[in-house]
Amino acid sequence: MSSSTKFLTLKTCDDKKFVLDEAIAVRSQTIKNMVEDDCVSNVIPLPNVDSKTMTKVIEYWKKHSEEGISKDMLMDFDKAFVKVHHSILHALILAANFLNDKEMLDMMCQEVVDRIKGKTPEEIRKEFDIKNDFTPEEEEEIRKENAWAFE
Amino acid sequence: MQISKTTKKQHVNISIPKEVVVEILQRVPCKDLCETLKKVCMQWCSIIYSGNFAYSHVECGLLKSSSSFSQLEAVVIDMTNGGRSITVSALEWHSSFPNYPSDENWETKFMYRLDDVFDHPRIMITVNSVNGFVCFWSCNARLHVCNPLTEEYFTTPSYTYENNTYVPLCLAAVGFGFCQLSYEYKVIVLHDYSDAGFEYVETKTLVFTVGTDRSWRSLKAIRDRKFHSRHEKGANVKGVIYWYMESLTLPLCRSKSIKSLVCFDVCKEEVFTTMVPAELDSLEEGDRYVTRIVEKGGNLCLVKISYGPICSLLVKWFISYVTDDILVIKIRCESVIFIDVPTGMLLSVFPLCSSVIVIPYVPSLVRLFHRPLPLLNSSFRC
Repeated sequence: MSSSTKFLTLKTCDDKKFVLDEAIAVRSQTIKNMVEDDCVSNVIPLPNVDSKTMTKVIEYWKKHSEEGISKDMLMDFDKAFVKVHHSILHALILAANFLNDKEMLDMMCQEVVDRIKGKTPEEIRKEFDIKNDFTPEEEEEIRKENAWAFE
Repeated sequence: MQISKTTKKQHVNISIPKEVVVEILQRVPCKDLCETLKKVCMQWCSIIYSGNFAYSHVECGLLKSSSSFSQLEAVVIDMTNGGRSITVSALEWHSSFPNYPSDENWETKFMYRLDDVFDHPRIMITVNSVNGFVCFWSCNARLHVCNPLTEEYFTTPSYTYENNTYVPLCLAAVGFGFCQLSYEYKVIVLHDYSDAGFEYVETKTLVFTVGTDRSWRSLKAIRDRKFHSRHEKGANVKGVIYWYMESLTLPLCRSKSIKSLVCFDVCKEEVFTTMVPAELDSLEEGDRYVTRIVEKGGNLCLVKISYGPICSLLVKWFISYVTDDILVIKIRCESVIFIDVPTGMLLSVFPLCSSVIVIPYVPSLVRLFHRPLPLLNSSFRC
């Protein structure tokens, strides 16, 4: 790292502060925009992210900014990184979306897709904590369409 | 590395924003979307049924065509009821991929039946598939468009032709394309007309916008050129349908056969011809080769196949389609075979009889009435 490294302070919604190299923090398009627009005073508030999630995000950013890390190592890291409980995955998706880190969001979305595969609607709702908001009539209506497709 | 794992279920208060749900659903194959995921909740259901999503899902599929799973499926169109009706069913074939030898049981799922289609000698011709819609021609001069996944289907009225001619004989080329500006689907027919002495030849071009037009519209005819290619199916690249056709100029007796590309701009509805690049034209010709024009990865390709030692038993090859690195070839009337292009491996053989055609397509959720708002560039990325 060069001597001119600039540090940013990020403050999560639960008032925890993270001091981070600017070069790493700008992986977030949201933070990058703030830095470029020069509206960074000394602390960047992140009202939508809690400290637990931010710790994970920073762990990801740091790993992906490491110099000389091999592709295989990164892949292994990513694989392990997404193996978390749904609630954490959920929080990470929200964080990645808020921070506007496309690469991270892509990875998270793919993980959700992998978890959806082969599951029934009921299992998906349970896994992702989604409320079934269909009335029984609507459910029947939807079931009837494309009847050939799910025998 | 320590990963925190919570087994305790936490209640999630903030729901995932719609654009992220869209990102997630865009990565799921169509079949799962409409079999399972639309039943999860109202939000997912309304996303899956929206035109914006359907079209961006198609775009996503194109970008990810190198993905590990193939989304290619096929439709089987079968004449039933003594040839008076046609039955359209979906063919599920890639379940056994990549097992070889190809002695799997084919599974077809009935979709719909059209009655009283034929009042002439019964011939059907595969046209093309675009955005999940498959198109085929039937010899009563009608074109049929259907999306096997949404079960939407449409049959055009008959186009006009000289009554004393045998319709399939006059069909020089047929195409099915998509206009990206109006989100409309169009079918086009190049229909030959010539007098007995071949002193006057003309190729009529007729176009029909699916779901909008009530009758066929005539475009400018191609004059003084006699096409002897028959039943050409075009390749769609960037809103233009291309046919690789051989023609003779007048007077016919002194004319040499010229190969040219006949093009149809789907949005502007213009027909024009261009020469085939010389390097392609000089390739070896003869009975041993069959040339077809195909679209592959957004590029126009000419495909030539020769009889190799393995295929020496086969009488003739016809290329029907190339998509997703899979080459689909019809072997006379006996079967349709699926070949993986990168490896050259034979994936499957589907047996045919004379009254059946198979049309490969990549499934999509697009419906004819979908008119999405202009897509943001961001939704193309995935």
